[in-house]
Amino acid sequence: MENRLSYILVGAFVFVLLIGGVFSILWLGNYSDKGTYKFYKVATKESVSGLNEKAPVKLRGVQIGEVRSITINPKNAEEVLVTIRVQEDSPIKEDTYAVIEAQGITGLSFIQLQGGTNNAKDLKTSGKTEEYGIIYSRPSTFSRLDKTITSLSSKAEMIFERAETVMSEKNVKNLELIIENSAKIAESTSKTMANIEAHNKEITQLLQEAAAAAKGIKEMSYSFSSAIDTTGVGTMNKVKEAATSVTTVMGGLNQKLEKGSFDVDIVVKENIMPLQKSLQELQVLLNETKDLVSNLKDSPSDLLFKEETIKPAPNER
Amino acid sequence: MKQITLAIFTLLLFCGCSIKETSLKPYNYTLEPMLTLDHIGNPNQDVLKVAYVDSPSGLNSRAILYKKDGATQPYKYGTWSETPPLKLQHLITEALMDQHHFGSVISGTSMAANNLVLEPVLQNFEEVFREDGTSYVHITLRVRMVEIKSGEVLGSTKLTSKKDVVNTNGAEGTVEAFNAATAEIIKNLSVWINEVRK
Repeated sequence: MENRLSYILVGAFVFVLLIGGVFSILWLGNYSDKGTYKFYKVATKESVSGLNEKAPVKLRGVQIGEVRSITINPKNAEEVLVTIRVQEDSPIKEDTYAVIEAQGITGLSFIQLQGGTNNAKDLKTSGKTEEYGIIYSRPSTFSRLDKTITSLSSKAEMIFERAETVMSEKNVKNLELIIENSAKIAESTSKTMANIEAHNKEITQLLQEAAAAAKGIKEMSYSFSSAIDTTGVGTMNKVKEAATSVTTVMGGLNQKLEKGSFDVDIVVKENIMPLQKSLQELQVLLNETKDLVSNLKDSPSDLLFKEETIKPAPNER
Repeated sequence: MKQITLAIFTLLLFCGCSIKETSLKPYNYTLEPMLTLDHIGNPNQDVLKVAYVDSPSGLNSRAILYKKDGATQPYKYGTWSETPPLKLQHLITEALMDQHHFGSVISGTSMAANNLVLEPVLQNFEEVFREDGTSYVHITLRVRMVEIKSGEVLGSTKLTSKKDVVNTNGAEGTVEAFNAATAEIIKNLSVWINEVRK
């Protein structure tokens, strides 16, 4: 049986299938620039790693556009300019701000537009690249978390270092001593309080006596005051006279001292030196008396009969 | 009855007295060393006071002491006329005065102003009996020279002398040995003191 398949038809079919496939891919990839868009620039000072071209741009979670290009601001090296394209009817307000957030755990990022109140004006933009409206970014959650964690970790590190310094071996020993001493003080205080309680009655009695004594002193002061009023003047006059007499005597004594007729040093020497000799003799006498008493103690009958005699020396025979 | 009792007691008392040994009164001996001191160095103008000789209480008595078998006892028939510390003070003062090394040498009781003080301490002054019956006298004297104004001790030394007792006729022989030993001590003291204060 002869094969009657037409090669032209097969070729046409394959060609149509190929063209259809290409269109399908283009349709699925949404490569077409259908619809109207407006462009903005998102200015950020954060790292945009994970953010690629065609990354989605969402407004309150609703995808409204995509990233078109990412460049460093040539006028500001610390700033990154991300050009985004959003749908024409998207409400981009002057108080709208951008946050770069991560898409799950893939490491990819997208731009989340937030803010934008109804009362705010629409953010102006233009079709020219230089006149695109600028949306400023705020730190992302991750960035804030990162900063917070970094700050916390540095503070924790500092705290640990200080804790290590505080809990040094020396300080630990001192702390032990302090705790030990505190325990002793507490014990002592407890005993003291117990003593105070035990002596509470005595203290009360003492206070009563002190109050009575204070009253007595007060009365005595009144009496003393009245005594001074009545007899004090006369007494003071007598004291004055006595002071005058003492001054006269001391003046005379001073004159004698200045003349040299009354030298304390000479007076002391004249009396002390002979006394020194007498003391030496007295010391000898005391030694002999001590011996005598010692002998009498051993043999009291010596006082009458003198039975105990000194033994002659070996060469006194 | 009372009178009889009193008479008996009186009789007994006199009986006791009558049997008591008649003791001889001890002789008094004086320390008198024969001294001839040599003068060394140039004389100075210092006034030296010889202080009272300090000593243990046992030596501060008139008893002539001897030591036998480790025990110290006094002579029965001989005593010093003055205590050895007092006599030594006088002897040292006199000897140094005669040496004319110092401007003046005064005793402890003098009222004169002085700039130096000699402080002697008598440590030994006794006769020691050996086991064979012979004996020697032993004197040890430590002295310090002090400058009064600064209180500085200029020098200190220990002087010792031992002399055999040749004459064994009681305390007399011992006193002779003590005189010889004392003379040696004072002579050595004068040599030392001349070197300390040239």
